[in-house]
This record gives sequence, structure tokens and C-alpha cells, in this order.
Amino acid sequence: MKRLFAISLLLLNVLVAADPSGPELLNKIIDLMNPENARGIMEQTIVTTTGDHRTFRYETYMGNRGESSLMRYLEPSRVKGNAILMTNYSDNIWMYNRRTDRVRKLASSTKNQKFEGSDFTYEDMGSGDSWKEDYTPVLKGTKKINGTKCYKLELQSRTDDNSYNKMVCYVRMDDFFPIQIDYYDKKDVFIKSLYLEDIQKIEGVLTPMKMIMRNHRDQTETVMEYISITYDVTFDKYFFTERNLKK
Amino acid sequence: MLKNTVIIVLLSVSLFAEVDWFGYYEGEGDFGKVPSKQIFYGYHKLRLDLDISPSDNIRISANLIYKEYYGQTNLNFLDFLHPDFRPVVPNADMTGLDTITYIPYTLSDSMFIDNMFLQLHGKLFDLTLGKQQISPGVGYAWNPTDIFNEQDLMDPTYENPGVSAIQIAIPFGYRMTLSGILQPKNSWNETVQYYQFKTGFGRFDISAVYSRGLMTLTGLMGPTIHTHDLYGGNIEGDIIGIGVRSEIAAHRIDYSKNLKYEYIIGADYTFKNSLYLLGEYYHNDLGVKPENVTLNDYLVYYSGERKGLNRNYLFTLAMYPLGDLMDISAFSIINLDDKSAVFAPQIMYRPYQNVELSLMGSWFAGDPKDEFGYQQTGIRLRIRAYF
Repeated sequence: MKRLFAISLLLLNVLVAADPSGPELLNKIIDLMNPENARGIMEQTIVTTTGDHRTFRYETYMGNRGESSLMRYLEPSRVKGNAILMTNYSDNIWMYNRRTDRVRKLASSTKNQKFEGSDFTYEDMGSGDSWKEDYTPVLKGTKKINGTKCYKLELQSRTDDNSYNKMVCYVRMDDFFPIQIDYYDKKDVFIKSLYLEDIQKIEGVLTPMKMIMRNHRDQTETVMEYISITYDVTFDKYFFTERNLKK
Repeated sequence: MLKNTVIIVLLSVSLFAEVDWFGYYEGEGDFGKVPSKQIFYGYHKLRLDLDISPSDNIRISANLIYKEYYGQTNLNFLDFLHPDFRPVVPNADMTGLDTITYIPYTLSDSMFIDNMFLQLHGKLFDLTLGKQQISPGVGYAWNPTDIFNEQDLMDPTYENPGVSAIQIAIPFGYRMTLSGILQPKNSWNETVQYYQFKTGFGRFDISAVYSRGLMTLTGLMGPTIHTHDLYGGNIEGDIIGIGVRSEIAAHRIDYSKNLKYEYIIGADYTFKNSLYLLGEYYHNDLGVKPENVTLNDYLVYYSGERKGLNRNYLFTLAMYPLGDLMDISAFSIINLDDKSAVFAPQIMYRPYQNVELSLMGSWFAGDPKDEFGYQQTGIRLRIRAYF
């Protein structure tokens, strides 16, 4: 009896220490990367094909665990005051042009397009936890990335509607935070990588203060950095609406 | 005197508040060719914006525009129309008829406050008082429900001039807003009233519009004034990735029982390779049939009081990014009634972060008596630098 109990304990120990399944790992990533609400100021630097640097600064608001987001440009002058509202994980996109005072609803075919000429798409910016529905997570073992032991999680597209055929996430084994995501297009060509750097704990939330999207096909790069961020914020239930977009 | 006072007040305010100054310089050169002559003119424009937000719920905004023209600034309106449209009037001694060959149109230098408004954001309403841009409608090239602005088909996304009005928007639910606009005139009867109820369902935004005011129609013998009621609506959304939109206005003029309809139906789509396509069909009962077009119709059309000379049009636009610094695009406007058309390719280059440079050509086709048939070619070079 004692022997059976010891074996059971050993087995339980093995199970507890076992690697998480793909869906479990994806849930952990989504929980970590999509806090309930957030408000911050970001700087986005695009390295163009000519090597020029173009810098945008905007205030960003995220609500409902990434389901809704609003971005309002602060710089440069060319786009100052323009704003983008995304709801339902970027299925609904409205764009406000301050100079013409017009709000346009963009077709969902826009969501896989470049966001203000950057290497991020609208979908990259506002996908939230839609990965759970859109992709099948499969754990593909472990790999060391810059000396950090990581899980290799492959997200395989469930439908043809998704922008990417697959994404490969490298997730730190100690805290389940992703540090690199590789994107593959519909033809399974490796097109770009997102590097999450300078990960700090802000108000108890792990936050990548710097994100670099490197486009291997176009040889361009976009760097996004938080200038400030807080998670201690609540939004009015009508905050993510057209009314606030024009404010 | 008033302008100078306003400018002094704005500058004084800026000394005592944290003011955000921005704006742009725009330079443009235009070349056009019609059978009788070549026309060249252009302008320099400076727009200076100031924005003050003393608190989260208050915003004061204004902009000053200075515009200086060069080149041929004294134009003859009749140069742009087939000679058959020249009006014939009795001569001075009433012994015969003379053909008018000159209707002057002057491009004058100007400096004016284009927008100047106060915005108050409350929990229950948003209120905007003053001269403000009002751009209703969901159409790209045409907006049948827009009674505030003249449209420019060759440049439909250009900013609209300010309208002196009071605007209130009352939200009462998620994606649900009731808004009202009053554009005060000499009397209540002349005052423009514009009401809109807007809501959203899933991937669609829907709105209903009612407006009442007076409609002025320019004529060779002077303007005529008509009562105008507009019943309209907008729908804009997405079906399997394709953006779809429609805008309709039913006009009741001089309390007539017969409504005149004006509407657009449009769609757009962005392909995976970033090619953007847009198409818009426009119908206007207020337009005339090609065989009935007179000079008066052109005057009404060019003064912006009617959005189409004839009744049926098609607008198409294709746009493609050539790398990250340049876009190429081309649009066409086809008059489906007289079969004339204009085709305009454009290249837009952003050499620096705050500088846009665009070059647009235009080719006109059709019978010389048709809407787009008389003008031949045009070129527009524009540079805009933001600060």
C-alpha cells in the first residue's frame, strides 16, 4: 500500500512538472499579454527601405483584454490628432482624420495591411485573444533563444481567412512570456519576426517595453517602445466608440 | 478689422494657455488645356492651427488660412464650356442679339479664419459651438446627405471649409447617437436644421437623417431660393471582407409631393498585395438629361449647388503602395448619361516624414459638348509640408 502511494506521488510529481500542452501554453501567453485594461504612450520608429527613420508617437488605450483598442497620434504633424479605433479583435476598424474631421469605417480586408506604413498590421495591433479561435496551438519542443530556455509553440491557422499560415512563438519556460514570434505567410514563407525585449514588471504585469518587428522579405524594421504605461485604469463602457474617437 | 482683432485675441490667448500650434504649407501649380487656350495658375497656402485643451472636457480650436494665387488668376468661366453654351441676350439698343463670351471668375488672395470653435464634452452630450468642419455621409466621391459642402470630384478627400453652426451629439447606448446641427441664418425659417440618428449592428453602421433649410440655385439672371427638406440615410459595413456603403437622400423642394432621389452605392476592397480598389455609382434625380443641359445647369453645378450635372455617374479608384514612401493611384469619373469621362493617375511621394509631394495628370474624353469632353488635359503638382 505504501509502495502504491509512493508511486502515485511520483507520478503526480511528474505530471505537475510536465510541459504544458499547446492550448495551456497559449492560454498562459494570452493571459499575460492581454491585461484587462491599459493606457500608455508609445513611440513607433519605422526604418524605411532607404534607411530613413520615421517616428510616430501616439497614446494608446486597450480594454476588455485586448478586444478593443484606441490609438491617437501625437506626432508627427502629418498625422497628429488622427485616431484608430478597433473593436472585436480588429474585425471592426474606424479611422478618424482630424484635418477632414471624417470617420471612415474600414473594410475587414484592411486588417492584414500595414499599420501606418509600419511592419505591424492592424491585426497584429488588435488581435487580443482571438488567437484561441483562429489558430491551433501545438507544442513543438523547446529551444534556446539568446541563452534563454524557451518553449516552441506553433500556432497553425484554422481557416484561410487568417493573415498568417502559422506563427511560431518562443516562450520563456520560467514565466511563460514570449520573447520572439515568427510569422509565416499563406504560402508558408517566413516573412517577419517580432522580438519582445526589455521585459519589465509594471504594476505586477509583465510588459515588453520594446518590441521590434523585423520584416525579412522587405528588409524593413519597426520598433515600438512604451514611453509610459499603466494598467491601473478603468474605462467607461462607451469609451471604445466613435464618439471618443473624435474627441 | 474683425479679422485682425480675432488674430490678436487668438495670439493673446496663446500667451496664457498651453497652446498646441501646428499646420502646414501647401504649394500647388495647375496646368489645364482647353481647345481655345492653355491655362496656368497656382497658389501658396499656409494653414496655422491652434488647439487648447484647458481640461479633458474642453477644447478650443481654430485655424487661420492665408492663400495667395499666382499665374492666370482672372479666368473666363466660358473658356471651360463648349461655345454652344454661350448665352445669347438682347443687345443694348434692343435691335438684335449678342452672344456673351465672358463670365469672369477671379481667384483672389485671401486670409481668413476657417475654423474657430469651442467643444464641450459632457457625460450626456458633446457640444460644438462655432465655425467647424461638418462632413456628413459615408460616400467617397459623392455625399448626397451633405448639405454643407461643395464637392470637388477631382479631390474628394480635401478638407472642407468651416461652417458656422451649433452641433450637439447625445449618446444613449453603445454605438447609438442622436445629433443635431443648427446653422443659424437671418431668420428661423432660413436656419438650417440637420438631425441624425446613428447606430451600429455588428459590422454595420446605420444612420437616418432629416434636414430642413433653404436651397439656393444660381442662375444667369440671378439666384432663386427654394424650401428644401431632406430625408436620408447611410449604411456602411463589411460583407466577407468587402467594404460596402450606401447613402441616400430624398429631396422635397418647395413642398412638392414629388421627391427627388439622390444616392450612391459603393464598395471597396484591399487585396493581400495591398492593391486597394473602390467603386461608387451615383444617381441624382436633380441632374438633367444630356440633351437638356443649359448654361444655367453648368452654373448650378459648378457653384456646388448640385452634385452632378447629369443623372448617373461611376467613380472608380485604384491605389497601390510602391514601397513604403510612395503610392500610385488612378481614378476615373464616368458620366454614364453622356458617356464622357475623365481619367486621372497620381503619384504620391513622401520624401521626408512631414512632406508629401503629389503629381496628378488628367485626361478628358467625350464629345466636346459633353461634360468631360471639352477640356483636354490637366496637370496638378502639389507639395505639402506639415509643421
